[in-house]
Amino acid sequence: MANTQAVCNSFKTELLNANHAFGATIVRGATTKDTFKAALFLASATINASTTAYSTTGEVTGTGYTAGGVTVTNANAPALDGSTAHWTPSAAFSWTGMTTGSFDCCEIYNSTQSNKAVAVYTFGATTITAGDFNLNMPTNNGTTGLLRLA
Amino acid sequence: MTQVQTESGMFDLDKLEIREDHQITNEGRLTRTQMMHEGKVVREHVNLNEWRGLDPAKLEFRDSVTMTDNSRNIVSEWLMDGAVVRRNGSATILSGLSLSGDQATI
Repeated sequence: MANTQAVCNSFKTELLNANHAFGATIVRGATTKDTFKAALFLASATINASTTAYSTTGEVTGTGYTAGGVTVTNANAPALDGSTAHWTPSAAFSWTGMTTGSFDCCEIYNSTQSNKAVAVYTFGATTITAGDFNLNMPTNNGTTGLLRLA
Repeated sequence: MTQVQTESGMFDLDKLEIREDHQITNEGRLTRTQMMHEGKVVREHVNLNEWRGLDPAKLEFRDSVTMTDNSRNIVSEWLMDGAVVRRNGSATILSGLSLSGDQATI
């Protein structure tokens, strides 16, 4: 047998389960999931990899949209597919009866942990008029899952 | 200071404000007009312009599908006499984000 240098696959899933704390910032006293939220942003906003936390700057406003967005339905446990850990919300993000300006971005953030930003997703710019908007999730696997650690 | 007398009482003209908003409903176009005095509603009028009686031939449905690198987007619109009265939308994220870890090189 021989040794191979690598980041352990199990570690990637464990990161998503908050099993490892390299810093001394967070104290966890309970085995509960954090709450994640999904907020929509106008096409004129600047939300990107440098975003560190949720903010109302550039967020969608209007009838049918509440600041902060919607709570993510999180019934899928992080899983490992080959060497890729992945996680995807278990339901679409939905808004009803909205009237908005043009928006093209959704930011997922951790509302339990000081609204820390998780990821930013963009899609074709759209404007809703007295209608519904659904942001559908990709298939939850190691190739298309919404958040993947490879 | 100029004051005006209305059915709702005597008000300082400089502190009066008119606010109007519109809402599209299944029944028609709802217009709410409010007279505000110092931030409080002192009079309100609601008017509904009903869809009924309009020419059905002017009602149009429009559907479009577009693709981006990240998503498939569908927009469905209802138009009355050329104006959009309702627009629904959906976007499907085609593939999420992958964070690739680097192997440490010593």
